[in-house]
Amino acid sequence: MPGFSESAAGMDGRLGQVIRTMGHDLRNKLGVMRNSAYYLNMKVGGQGEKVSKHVGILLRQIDISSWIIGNLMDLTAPKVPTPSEADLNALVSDVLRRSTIPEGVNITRMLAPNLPTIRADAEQLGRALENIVVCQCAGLGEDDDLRVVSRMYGGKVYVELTDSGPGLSDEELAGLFDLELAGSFSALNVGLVVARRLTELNHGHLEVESKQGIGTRFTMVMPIG
Amino acid sequence: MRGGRSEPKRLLLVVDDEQGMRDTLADILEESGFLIDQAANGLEAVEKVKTQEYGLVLMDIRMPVMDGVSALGQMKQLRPELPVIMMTAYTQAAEVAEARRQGAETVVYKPLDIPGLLDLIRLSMGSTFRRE
Repeated sequence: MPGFSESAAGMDGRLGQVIRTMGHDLRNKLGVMRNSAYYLNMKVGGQGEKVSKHVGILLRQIDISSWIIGNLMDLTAPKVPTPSEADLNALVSDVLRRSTIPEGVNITRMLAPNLPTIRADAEQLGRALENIVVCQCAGLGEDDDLRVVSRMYGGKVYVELTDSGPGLSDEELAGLFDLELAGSFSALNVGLVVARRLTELNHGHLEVESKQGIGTRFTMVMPIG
Repeated sequence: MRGGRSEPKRLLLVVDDEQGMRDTLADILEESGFLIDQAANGLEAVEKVKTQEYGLVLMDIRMPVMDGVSALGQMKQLRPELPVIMMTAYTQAAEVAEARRQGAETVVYKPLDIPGLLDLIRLSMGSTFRRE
């Protein structure tokens, strides 16, 4: 793994430990906040459009914060995967179900029937796919497309996520998985670095192609067996 | 305790060292038709399981005094049929694998997806509980 992620892997020492511990504690607090917001929604959510709207905002912001903290922890903690039989079609469907897709974005799924299962840590691959979808959706709006395709070829399983967003410049593309090369970076870049890292920990790899004005395609390639 | 011996199948034990987590989960679960008892660590939870019949235990993995995985092992020795769902904010894979090996129904991640958790609880309790 190039760039910042290598440095991050070196944060296995005291600093990494501090980040992981504080991240764990922060996530616990966010968990309490989320439960509270959920309870309020149960009790008063039906009392007006604005109340529902604000509870929704609260829940969404808590989820984003938790996502950012989770990526920070994954960046500093090289977790050992726990492999089991993983169904990539099911993982993709689950990620699309729980992701917040911007209103007006058209989702097309072309998932290969009878796609073989792979031996991998399903939770880690789910998080990798989620990070990709979150990053892609950040650039999408009304009437944009997100097409998800799964297929098998040459002993490997492929999941392609293609968007019709603004696309990336060569400079952005070069720094996409490498925070050292990125001119500036955001939580989205960190999410992609983590996505690549989790994929590689499970013996797969991520590919990306992009053209400005046309869109971006991420491909997760995983070996079968 | 907000539950009662007369309705053990509706009685859930929520185990977490974070009081806010216990209180908020208790309110949500009570609102969803369950009765709730609470424990602040694994040791306290095991003691409660010795004397009270629960329909399900919802327990954090990382806790002081006795962690959730150790408590799970002891609970399963006392009551092998007791469904236990484990919770974690961020846990190393080895701990999650050990929880599954010890017989946890599943492991859920904080912040919790409450509708999903309610489904899991009902599924784990099988036909012994249906939403009122």
